[in-house]
Amino acid sequence: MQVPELMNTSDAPITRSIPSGNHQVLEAVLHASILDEHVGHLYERLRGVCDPVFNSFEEHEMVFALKTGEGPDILVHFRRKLSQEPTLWHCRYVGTPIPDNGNLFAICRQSTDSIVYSKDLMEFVKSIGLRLEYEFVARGKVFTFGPIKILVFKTFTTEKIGTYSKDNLKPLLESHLVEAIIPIENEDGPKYSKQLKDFCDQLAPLVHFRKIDYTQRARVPY
Amino acid sequence: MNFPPPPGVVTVPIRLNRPDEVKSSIDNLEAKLVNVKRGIEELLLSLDAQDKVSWPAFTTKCSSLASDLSTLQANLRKSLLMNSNEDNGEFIKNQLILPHTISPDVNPKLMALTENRVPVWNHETAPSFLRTKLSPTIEGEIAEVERDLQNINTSKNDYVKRITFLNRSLDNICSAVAEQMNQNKPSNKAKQPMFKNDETEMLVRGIYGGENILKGSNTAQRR
Repeated sequence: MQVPELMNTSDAPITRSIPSGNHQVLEAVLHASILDEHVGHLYERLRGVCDPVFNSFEEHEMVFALKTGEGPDILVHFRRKLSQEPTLWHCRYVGTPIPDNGNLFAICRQSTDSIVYSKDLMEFVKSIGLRLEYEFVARGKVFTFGPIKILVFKTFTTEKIGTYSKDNLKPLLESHLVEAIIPIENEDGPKYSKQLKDFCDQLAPLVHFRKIDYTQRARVPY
Repeated sequence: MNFPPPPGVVTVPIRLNRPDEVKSSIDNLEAKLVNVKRGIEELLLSLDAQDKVSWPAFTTKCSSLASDLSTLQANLRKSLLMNSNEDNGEFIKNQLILPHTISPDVNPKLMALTENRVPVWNHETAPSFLRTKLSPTIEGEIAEVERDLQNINTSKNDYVKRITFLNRSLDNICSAVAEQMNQNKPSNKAKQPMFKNDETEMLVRGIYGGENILKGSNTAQRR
């Protein structure tokens, strides 16, 4: 597992730690949220604790589903920088959490990353057979603390599909989401999730990190 | 009438008490003094030779000089004899030195003995070398040091006063800081919630599962 290299500013921030050989990563993740009015405090705290370089990002993510005959759909996330022309997409598959025997302090899951260059993504996904499930815009900052990556962002949904200008974006809830991720080496879930938990505990009482199981979806019929 | 030049040193044929011991003690003294002289010479040479003398080298020279002087002092307490008890220099104190000839003429033998430093044994040099009391300048310095020593003991009160003053100012500062801290706290009477746990769950489910996000419509409508 490679050490995350220095950031190439032309890449979207989440592509920073893609290892060149193995695109599949076992990662531990913890989530928290913070009300919008207190985000400033969290930023200051993170700026003090984390590495000196941090970045803001504003990205548009579309999530497609590959309908398999059996089992739940496979969801593939495609993300691009909102400011650029949409030719560079970061493609990600997030697996289900590995079973927890009580010794994991965080949700551990497989995650596969890749980069897609495409002038017309919709053609591409249509030809693969993916169907758009949902999309959102994420705007926030990313910090690192060694191997730990902390994303603080606000999700927006778009009122009019296809347009992502600021007027059409509607914030989702009143909080920013905080996501802390650490890559796991040697499949040693307990050790790395403990590292992550220890770091996340430092940010209390501003935020409280928890393991949140995202697989149980109560699909609201539209 | 030409007088013959006086000799350098005259040993008077008086019956000395323990002449060998006297001689050995004076030889001893001479040897120690040669060491001290060498130390001082080295020090002065090093200062003359270079513009900038290295401080550690200088201090080592000074310390070896100081150790030579202290050995000399210790030996003097033993009267410079090898195997005697410490008699505080009683033995050599009891040896008498009398100036034999005082003349204003330059004495070549004396010059040879003293490496050309003492040319004459006249009414100035003799008392200066035979003095038993410290020179007035040195006496004044010693008196001043002793006065300072006395003052330290009596002026302890000043230090105590200063210490209490500083402690008091520190206490004032500490209480002011604590007050400031407490002032800011009561403004949020109840601990403000920084986050809502439900929102965390909803946000995560939204991002990973698409809940509460409007489902995207047909891809053909895009762009």
